[in-house]
Amino acid sequence: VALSALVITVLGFAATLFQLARTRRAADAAANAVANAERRMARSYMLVLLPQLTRAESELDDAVAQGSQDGVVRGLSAWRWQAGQMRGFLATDEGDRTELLEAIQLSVTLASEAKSRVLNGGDLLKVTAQARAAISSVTGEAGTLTGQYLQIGEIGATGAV
Amino acid sequence: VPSNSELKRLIQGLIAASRSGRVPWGKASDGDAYIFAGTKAGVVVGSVDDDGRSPYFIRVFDNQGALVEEANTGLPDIDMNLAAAVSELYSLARDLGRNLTPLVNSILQDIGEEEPF
Repeated sequence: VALSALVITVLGFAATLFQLARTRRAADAAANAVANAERRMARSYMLVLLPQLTRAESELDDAVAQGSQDGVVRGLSAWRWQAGQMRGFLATDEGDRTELLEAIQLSVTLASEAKSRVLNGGDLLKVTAQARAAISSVTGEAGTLTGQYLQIGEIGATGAV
Repeated sequence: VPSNSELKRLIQGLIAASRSGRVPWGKASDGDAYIFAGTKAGVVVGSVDDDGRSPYFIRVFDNQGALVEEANTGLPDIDMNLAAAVSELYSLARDLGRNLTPLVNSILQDIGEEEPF
């Protein structure tokens, strides 16, 4: 009887351990699924953000071409806001984004510097040249990054997860 | 009047790194200003009148492009040590930002002289 009880106890213990392992695997799988979904959702945001970045860039270029001091100041401020949005996205993204973060920092610093020179009456084309080049570089990189996400199927063409 | 120890610490660090060629200074405008941007902050140093002469300025921007600190060596009550440091940093940034330092190194190498850095 004692032997039977011991066998039953051992079998019960083994069954419990097996069930625990299954539960843990299921929990890990669920956690991975949630993490993947969050990453795909965040990366889908690039499909929304990219047109906003390029619009900010082209509105700034238009304002410079039209010689509109107010438009240039608005455009530079808008870029700083949009760049902040992208920085927020990059903070949640995996991988080393150091170069892109530096390019964004360069663009917002130059945008601020250009804004003060514009307000001091500088030539719009000249005083915004470096800032516009840096902005163009960031939008180009953002486009490349979005293209990479599309290519690896991280995001759909409709932005759907 | 900025006599901020953090600003001095930043400038000393930039001077040391610039001397060893580790700061990729670039042109910040069509005038006489030079920029270094990291991942979360940027620095601009230049001559106030865009003429390469004193007074000089330094501006520090945060990750939103907002100005958080600045110093101008032309202000009458500026800390003299800070003014000297800004002037020295300006000189280094100007040489590196105009790509003069690598050109000088290249020429010195060609004529068999040791590189300064």
